[in-house]
Amino acid sequence: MLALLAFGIGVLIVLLGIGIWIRHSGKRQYLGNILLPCCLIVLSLIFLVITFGFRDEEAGPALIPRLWIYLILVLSGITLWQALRGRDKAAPKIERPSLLAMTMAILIGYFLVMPYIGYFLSTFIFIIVMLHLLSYRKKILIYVIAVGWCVCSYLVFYKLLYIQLPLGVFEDLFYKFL
Amino acid sequence: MELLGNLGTALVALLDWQTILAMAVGVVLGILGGAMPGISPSTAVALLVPFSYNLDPRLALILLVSIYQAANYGGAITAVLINTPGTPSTAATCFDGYPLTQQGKAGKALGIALLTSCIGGIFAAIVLILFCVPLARVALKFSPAAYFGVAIFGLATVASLGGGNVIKAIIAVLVGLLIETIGLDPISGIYRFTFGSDLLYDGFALIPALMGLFAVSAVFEQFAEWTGLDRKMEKIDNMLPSFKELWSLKRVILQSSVIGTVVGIFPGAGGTIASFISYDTAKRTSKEPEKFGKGSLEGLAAPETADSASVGGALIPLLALGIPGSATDAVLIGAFMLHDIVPGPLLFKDHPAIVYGIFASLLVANVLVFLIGLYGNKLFIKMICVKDAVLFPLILVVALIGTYSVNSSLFDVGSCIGFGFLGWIFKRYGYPAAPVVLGIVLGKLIEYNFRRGLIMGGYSVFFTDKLAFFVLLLAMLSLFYPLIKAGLNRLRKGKQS
Repeated sequence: MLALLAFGIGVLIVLLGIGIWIRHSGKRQYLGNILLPCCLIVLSLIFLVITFGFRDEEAGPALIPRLWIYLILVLSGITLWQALRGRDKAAPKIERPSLLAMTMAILIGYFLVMPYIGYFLSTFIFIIVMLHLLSYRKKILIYVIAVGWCVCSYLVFYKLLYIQLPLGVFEDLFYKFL
Repeated sequence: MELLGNLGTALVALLDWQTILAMAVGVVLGILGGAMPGISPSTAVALLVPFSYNLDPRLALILLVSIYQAANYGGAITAVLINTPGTPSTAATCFDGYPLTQQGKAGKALGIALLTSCIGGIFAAIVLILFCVPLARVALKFSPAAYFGVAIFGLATVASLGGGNVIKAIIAVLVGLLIETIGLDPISGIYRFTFGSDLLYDGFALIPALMGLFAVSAVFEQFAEWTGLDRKMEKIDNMLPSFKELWSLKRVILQSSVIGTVVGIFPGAGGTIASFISYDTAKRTSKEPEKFGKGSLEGLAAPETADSASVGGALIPLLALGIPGSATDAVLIGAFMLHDIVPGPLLFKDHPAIVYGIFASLLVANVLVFLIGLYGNKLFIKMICVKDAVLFPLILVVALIGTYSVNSSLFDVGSCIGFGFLGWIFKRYGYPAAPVVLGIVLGKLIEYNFRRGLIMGGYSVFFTDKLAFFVLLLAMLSLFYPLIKAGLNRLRKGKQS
C-alpha cells in the first residue's frame, strides 16, 4: 500500500511537470488532450500492478482486467501521440469557467453537508444558492421553488416511497413533528 | 398462434388504469424530455430509472419504454419551432421543419411530425413483435462462446457513439469495462481493485453511473457554455395535415419506416443515422428533390418516421439477445438489472408478462403520443419555455435524490457526482460518455461468458464453435469498420494528391 502511495505521488509530480511543460510550450491548447491520456495510462498501470496480486490461472480473475488494461494502454498511447503532434481536436473554450467551477464546488459542498444538516435543509439551501448564482431574477419565486421542491420530495420520497432520506442533526426534531 | 395469444393477454392487461397512467405519464415526460435541448432521450430515461424502482417491474419498464418512444417526437418540437433539435436524432428534422415554421406553417409541420412519428413507431413495434420471439428462440441455443461474441457485437455501438474519433470511443468503452471489474469477481470469488474499502466490495452501482454520466455531466456541459438566454417559441395554429397531404407522403412513410426499423436493429446505428439515411433516400427518390431544405413535407416526414421506427428496431437486440442497440437501450438494460431481470432470450421464458407487456405498450404508447401530442402541444410549448436557471439545478437535485433512493447510500451519491465529473471531462476532450455506460452494462456478460467458454474448451473454442467464430468476426468487423474506412479514405486521398 505504501509503495502504491509513493508511486501515486511520484506520478502526480510527473503529471504536474508535464502540465507545466505543456503550458509553456506551443501546445497549450492541447493541455487537456495530453493530460487525459496520461492520467488513463497512469491509472491503468496502477490497476495492472494490482492484478499481479491476483491468482494466476488461465481463466482467472486477472485475465479480463489485464486485457482491458493493455488495450487502454495501447489506445491511450495512440491518442497521446496524436495530441502531442497536434492532430487532435482542441477542446472548446469554456465560456463561463467561474460559473462552472462554482457549480461544481457547490454540488460537492451540498453532498458533504447533507449527512450533517439533512436532505431537506441542504437541498433548500442548494436550490436557493444555485438560482442566485444563475441570476434568476424573481426573488420570491426562488424561495417558492426551494420550499415547493422540499415539500414535494417529502411527500413523494418520504411518505409515498418510504425512502429514509438523510436527516442529520434534525432527525429527532423531524420525527417529533412529522 | 402462441404469440397472438400472449399479445392479446398483454393488450388486455394494458387496460388496467395503473398501466394506462404509467404510459400516459411516460409519454408526457418523454415528450417534455425530448423537447428540452440538452436533455437527450437517454438522459430523460436515466433520470426516471431510479424512481421506477418501487414500481412493479412490468409497470416500470412500460413507463420507461413509453418515455423512450415519446422522446423522439418531443425532439421534433424544438427542431421545428426554433431550429434546435431537442435530441440528436431530430437534427435532420430541422432541415425542412424550420423552413415550414418560417413560412407560417408551424402547426402543419408539427402535425406531420407527430403523425409520421406515430406511424413509424407502430410499424417498428409490429416488426419487433414478429421478429423478437424467433430470434430469442435461436439465441437460447447459443453457447457461452457464442454469447461472448454477441456481447462483443453489442460493443459495436461505440462506433457510432464516437462522434468522429473511434479510438476515443473505444477507450471510453474500455474504461467502462474496467470499472465493471471492480468488486467481487463472480467466478473466483475474490475482491478486485477495492483498495481495502468495503464500500467497493460490490463495485460501482449502475444507477450512479447512469445519473452521473448522462444527467450531471449534461448539466456541467450546459453551464460551461451558459448564456442565460431564454427560449422563445412560435405560436402554433391548426395541427393536422389534410388527408390529401398525408396520402401524398405514403411512399416516404413506408420507405422510412423500413429504413428506421432495419437501421435500428443494428447495434450502433440508432435514430440519428436512421433519420439521416432516410432523409437522403427520400431526397434521392423524390419527384421534387429541389424542395428539400425549403420546407418539403417529404423532407420532414422521412427523418421523423425513421427516427421513431428506430426505437422498435433497437429493442429487438435488447429483448432477444440482451445487447443494447443505442445509448438509451443501455440505460434500459440498467432498468432491467435494477429489477433483477436479465434481458435476453430467457426473458421470454421467465418473464413473458413483461416482454409482451412491452410489446403491447409500444403499440398503445404510439397512439397515446398522437393523442397527447395533438391536444397537449400548446401546453408542452409553454412548459419547454421554463427557464434553464430553474431547470438545470433541479436536474442536479433529481439526479442525486434518484441515485440515493435506490440503495439509500450516500456513497452512491458521491459516485454519481464523480461519474458526472468523469463524463464532463471525457466529453470535453472528445471521449463520449455513453460508451462508458455500455462498458459497465456489458462488462459482466462479456467476462462471465468469455471465462466460462475458456473453462469449457480453452481458447480454441472461439474458433471451433462456428457460431461463436462468425459472430466474433462480425463484431470485430463492425467495431473496426470505421477505422478501416478512415484508413482507406486516407490512402485514397494520399494517392490522389
